[in-house]
Amino acid sequence: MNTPSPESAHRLGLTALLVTAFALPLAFLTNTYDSTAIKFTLLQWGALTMAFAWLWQGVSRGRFQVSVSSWSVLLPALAYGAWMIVRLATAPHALASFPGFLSQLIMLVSFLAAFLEFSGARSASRFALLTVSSCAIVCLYGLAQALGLDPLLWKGAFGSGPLGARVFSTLGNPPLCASFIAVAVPVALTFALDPDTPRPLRLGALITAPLAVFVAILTGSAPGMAAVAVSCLPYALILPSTLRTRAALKSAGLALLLATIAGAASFTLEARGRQTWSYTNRFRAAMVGAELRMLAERPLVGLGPGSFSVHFPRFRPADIIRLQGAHSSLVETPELPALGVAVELGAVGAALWLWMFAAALSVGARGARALRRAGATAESVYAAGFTAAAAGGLAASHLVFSQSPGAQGWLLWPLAGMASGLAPLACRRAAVSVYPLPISEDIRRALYAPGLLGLAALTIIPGLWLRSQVDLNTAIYYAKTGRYDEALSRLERAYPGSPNYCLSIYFRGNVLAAQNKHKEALAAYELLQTHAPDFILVHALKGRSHALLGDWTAAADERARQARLDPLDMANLVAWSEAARAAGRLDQARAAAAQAEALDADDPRVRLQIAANNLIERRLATQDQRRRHNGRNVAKKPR
Amino acid sequence: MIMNCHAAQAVFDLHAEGRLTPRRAKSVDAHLASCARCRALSAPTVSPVKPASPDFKARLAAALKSKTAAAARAEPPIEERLWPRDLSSVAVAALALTLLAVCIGWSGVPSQWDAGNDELAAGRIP
Repeated sequence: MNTPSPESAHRLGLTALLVTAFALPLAFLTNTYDSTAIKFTLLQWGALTMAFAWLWQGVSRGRFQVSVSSWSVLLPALAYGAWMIVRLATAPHALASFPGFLSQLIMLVSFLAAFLEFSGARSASRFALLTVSSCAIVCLYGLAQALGLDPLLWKGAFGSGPLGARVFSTLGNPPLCASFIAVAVPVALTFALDPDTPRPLRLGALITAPLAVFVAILTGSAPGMAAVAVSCLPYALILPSTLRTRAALKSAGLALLLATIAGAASFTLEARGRQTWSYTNRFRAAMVGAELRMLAERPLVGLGPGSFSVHFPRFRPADIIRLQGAHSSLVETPELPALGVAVELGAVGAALWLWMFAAALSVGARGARALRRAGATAESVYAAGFTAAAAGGLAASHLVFSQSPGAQGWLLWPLAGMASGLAPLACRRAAVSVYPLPISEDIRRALYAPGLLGLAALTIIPGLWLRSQVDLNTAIYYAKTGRYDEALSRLERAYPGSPNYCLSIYFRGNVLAAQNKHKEALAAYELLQTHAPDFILVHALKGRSHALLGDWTAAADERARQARLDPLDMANLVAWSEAARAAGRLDQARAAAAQAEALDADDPRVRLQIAANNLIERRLATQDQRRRHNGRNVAKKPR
Repeated sequence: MIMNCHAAQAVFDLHAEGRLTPRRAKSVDAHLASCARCRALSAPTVSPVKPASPDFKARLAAALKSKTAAAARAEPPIEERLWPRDLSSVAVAALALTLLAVCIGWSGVPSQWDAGNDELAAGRIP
C-alpha cells in the first residue's frame, strides 16, 4: 500500500479547514427540525478530518513537533480540552450534555488545527479568501431577500426591516446573520491589505466589507448592527499600532467608518424599539443573573460541559418566561461566553479559557510586530488582522450578545489559532519540542489502513445524527397530521448523542399520550428524565398522564414540581389545583389556586378552581360538623 | 528519557540543526553513545563542522554576488506567487459548493419547528 506523504496529509487538513470556512455559513437544510443541524454536521466532519490529517502527518513523519515558543498558547488550550473531557466523564447527564460538549470540542480542535498546522501566509490568505467569498454570497442572497426575491419557502419569515423584508440570508435569523458579518468584515479588510494578493481579489474584498455592513443594517437587528460596530473597533486599534504602515492606517480608518455607520444605524433602530425579546438588555440581565446563580451551585468545577440547557430550567427566572411568553423553550445558550464557560466548567475551566484566548491574542499581536520587523509583510498583516477579528468577535459576544453557536462563533477559534500560529514564523529555526514515535516505519505504514477505516467509521456518526434530525422533523409532520404510528417509528430511530435525542424521547411520550397509551408515555418521560430531569414541560405532561391513569397523588407531585420551575404557567397551576384536590390535599389545591389567582383573578378556570376548592372545603366542614355532632350524641346517649 | 532506534532516527535532522531542546538532545546523544548502528546512520548529519577560515564570509558574499548577477542576466525574474495564475479552479469549486448547498436547501419536508407556537412541544397534539 502506498502511504501518503506528510505533505498530502497537510493538504487534506487544509482543505477541510477551507471547505468548512466556506460552506459553514452557507449550508442550510430545510428538512431538519433545527436549521443549524447541517452546520453542526459540517463542523463535525471538518474537525474530524483536521484532527485526522494532523495525526496522519505526525505518524507519516515519525514524530510530532511544535516550536518551544508555542507552549504559551498550547498549554492552556490542551489543559482546557483535558478539563472538558474530565468534567464530561464525571458530571451527571453526560448523554444530554454530549452535543454541547462536542460543539465546544470542535471549536477547540479547529483552534489547535489552525494553530499547529495551517499557519502561514498562504493558508491564511486562502482562509481569508474563502471566508470573504462566503460572506459575499451571504450578502448577495441577503440583498435578494430584502428585495423580496427570495425563492425559498421562508420568504418574509422575519417581517419587514428598514428597507424591504428583514434579511437573514443563510444564517438562521437576522441577528445571527449580522453577527457572522461582524466577524467577516475585519477578515475582508485584512485580506484587502495583503500585498501578495492579486489586485482584483483585494478589490473584491474591499467592496464586500461595506456591502456586508449594508446587509447587516438590512437585517433590522439593532444588536446585530451593534455587534458589527464593536467588532470593527479592535481592528481599527490593533492594525495601525502593529503594522505601522499607511495602508494599515487607511484600512483602520475604513473600519472606523464602517463601525460608525453600523453603530449609528443600531442606535436609530434601537430607539424605534425593533428588537426581538431574546436580544434585549432586559433578557441579557435576567440571563446573567440566572447564570450567576448556576455558578454559585458549583463554583469551582461547574455543572459539566454542554450541560447548560439541562440545568437551566431550575434557574430560569420568571422574567425570562414573561419575555418568552411561552413555556416550551428548548435551547438556552448562555449570555457572556466567559460566564457560560464558568457555569459549565467552573472557575478552573473559565480560567483556562481566558488564559488560552489571552495568550493566543497577545501572541498574535506581538507576532505581527515581530513578523513586520523580520520583513514578512503578508504574515504580519494576517497575524494582526486575524488577531483583531478574533478580539472583535469576542468583544461583541460579551458586550452585545452571545455568538457561541454556529458559523460566527466557530470563526473566532481558527482565526485566533492562525493569528497565534503565525508568530513563530518570525524565527524560523527556533528550538522545537519533538515527540518521536518509537515504532518502525513498517508499523507506521501498517497503521494507515486501520486509521483510514477509523476515520470513515467516525464520519458515519455525524451522518446518522443528521438523519435523526430529519426523522424527528418528519415525525412531527406525521404527528401533526394524525399519523401517530408512522411518527413513532421515526422517533424511535433517533440515535443517542444526536442533538435532538432528548427531544425525540419527549415527543415520543407526547405521541403515545395522544394515542391514550399513558403507561407507555410515562415510561418514555421517565427515560427522558434520566437524561434531562426538567426537560421543557415533562413534569406537567407526566402529571397529566398520572391523572388520566387515576394516580392523583403522583399527578399532584409532578404538577407541583412544574409549578416551581414555571410559576407563570396558568394551565399547570389550574391542573395542579385539580390534582391536589382529587388527591385529598386541599391545602395544596388552595395554594395552587391562589397562585393562579395572583396571575389572573378573572380567568374562568381560576374561578372554577376556587369555587371547587371552597365547595370541597364546605363539604368537609359539614361532614366534620356532622361527625362531631354524631359523636356528641353518642357521648350523651344514656346507657 | 531512553530512546529506541526508531525514535532517535526520527529526530536526527533536528539534532543536526541544533533545534532540539537540551533534554531531548541529551537523550539522542545518550542513545548514539550506546548504539553503533544509529551512530553510523547519523554520522553524516551530526559530524562536527570544520571551523570556517577567517575570510570565509567575504568569499561567500563575493560568490553569491557573482552568481546572482549571472543568474539575473541569464533568466527573467521568477515571481513567487502566493496564488496560482489561474483562479478558475477555485471559482468552480466555490460555485459547485454553493449550488450543492442551495439544492440541499431546496429539497425535502419544510421544517416543523415553530418556537413561538409549538403545539407538540406543549403536549397538545393534535
